[in-house]
Amino acid sequence: MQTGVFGKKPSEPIATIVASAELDPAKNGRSFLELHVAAVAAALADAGIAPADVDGLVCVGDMMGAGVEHTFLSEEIQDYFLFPNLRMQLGVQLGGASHLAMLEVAARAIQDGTCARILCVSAGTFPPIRDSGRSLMQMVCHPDYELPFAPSIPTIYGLMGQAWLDATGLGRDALAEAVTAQQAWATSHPVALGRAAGPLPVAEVLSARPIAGPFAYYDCSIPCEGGGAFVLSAPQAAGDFPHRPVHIVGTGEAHTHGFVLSLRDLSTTAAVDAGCVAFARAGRTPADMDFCQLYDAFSSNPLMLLEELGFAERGKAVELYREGRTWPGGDLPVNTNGGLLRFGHAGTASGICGLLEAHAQMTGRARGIQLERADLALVHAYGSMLCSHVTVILEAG
Amino acid sequence: MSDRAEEGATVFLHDLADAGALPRLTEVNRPFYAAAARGELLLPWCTQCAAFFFYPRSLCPRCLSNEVDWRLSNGYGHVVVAVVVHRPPWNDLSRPCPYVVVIVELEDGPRLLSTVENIPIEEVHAGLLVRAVFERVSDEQGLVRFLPR
Repeated sequence: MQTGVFGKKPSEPIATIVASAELDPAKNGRSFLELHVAAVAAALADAGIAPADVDGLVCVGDMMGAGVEHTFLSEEIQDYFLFPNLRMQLGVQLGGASHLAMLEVAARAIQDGTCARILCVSAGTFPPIRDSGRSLMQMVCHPDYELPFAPSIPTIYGLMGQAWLDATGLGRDALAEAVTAQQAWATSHPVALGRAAGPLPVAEVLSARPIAGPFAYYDCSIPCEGGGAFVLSAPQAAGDFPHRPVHIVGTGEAHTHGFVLSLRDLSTTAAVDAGCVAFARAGRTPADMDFCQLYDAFSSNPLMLLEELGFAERGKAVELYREGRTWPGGDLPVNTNGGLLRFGHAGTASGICGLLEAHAQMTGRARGIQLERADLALVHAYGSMLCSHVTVILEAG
Repeated sequence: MSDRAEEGATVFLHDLADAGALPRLTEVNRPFYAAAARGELLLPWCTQCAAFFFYPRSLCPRCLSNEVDWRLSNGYGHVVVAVVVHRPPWNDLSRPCPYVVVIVELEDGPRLLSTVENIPIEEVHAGLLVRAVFERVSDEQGLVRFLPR
């Protein structure tokens, strides 16, 4: 078989998402393990399979201080369900990009024949931010050369967001456009945490209480508990499952830094490179995409990512919002459940959210606004302080 | 906090550091912090590359040489980007809020994350010229902060 530069023909699927389940974002205080168990059981039910049918288990290791008892999380899950036939078990850790990195690793294990059906799961809770702030910042800052100056997470994202605003000549109102649009999606979603706030005009986003740099209250995501799980199978076996198959046709990764003080160009991220690789592998371009799910811990991120992934020229993504193209009814829907900003940010589980929403849209099961056309999607997530980027291109079968 | 000082004189600031967020001194970072306690900005210098790097490491991240020396910087630089922090990262942060966190690029090349002090917060922006000042936390440890110049 003739293969392309990445070991496959561009149109050839790597693996297929055949089932998924998402927990409602909430603030119920459920335990870390309890959330994982609920997500695994729901995904198995969605796939119509039993634990014995699963031969791969991948999860995302705790990143938010859930406790030392969860150090060996994949074994904990294995033990709870007593999966009898695993040929692969793994915990992945790459911040908010873990979930797409988990998908990449699992897809390769399907592609090379190691496994036939892999269950991927992530759940978590965002801890109380300022009560646990010192330990939270110890996780994401350089302990010697950043932490002593007391930056918050919004401060670090603010440094990068402000650098992008300085470089493009835009103001905070550009960021507010993304919040306003995502709230339009969230108000139509039955369980989005931000739903109750009703429409959020740009002026209201701008006048909310300031947090750090360009970010006020609504520019920051909503902490919650949540997560979910999905099942991967080989493309040829996708017909064994009840839903429309969603093929993984391209993935790409790129990395620039570990700590913000080491990032030379603060106004650009590694999404540029991750996106190029994913599109090349998929044999697709941004113009082919029906919609995007873009990791959005802060309001600057979807705008920057739209530009870096090739959907708009630098400084022009805001026009996609102002023209309504990213809104419900637009031709480039972005973050169709409201995103982390308005649906909820479930700590360790954050990055699975966009992927699960993409799968729901592509299988015609969106709980909020169902897109009429959802055949090709881009999902992008980054880890830690905009360090590690993963892009995934999905194509419905 | 001290008043804005004359160019050239070493300035010490007080009462900004959070006791729960100070670095643990190690063999690698000790020269940097000890110098800052004396009022000097001492930076790691790779003798192979003949260039500064930051932050201090046991080897040069460019060429992996472990012939790492230390050289004094004049402490002059400019703000690359600035962010006003309105909500502190933790509840019991001791310093007053708001304050301004910045990335500073030194004339000597390296970049530091720090704060700019003794200036109205709305006046800190990209391009602002700054100079290093020091907060002596102990005889062994000082933090490098910045003032406008």
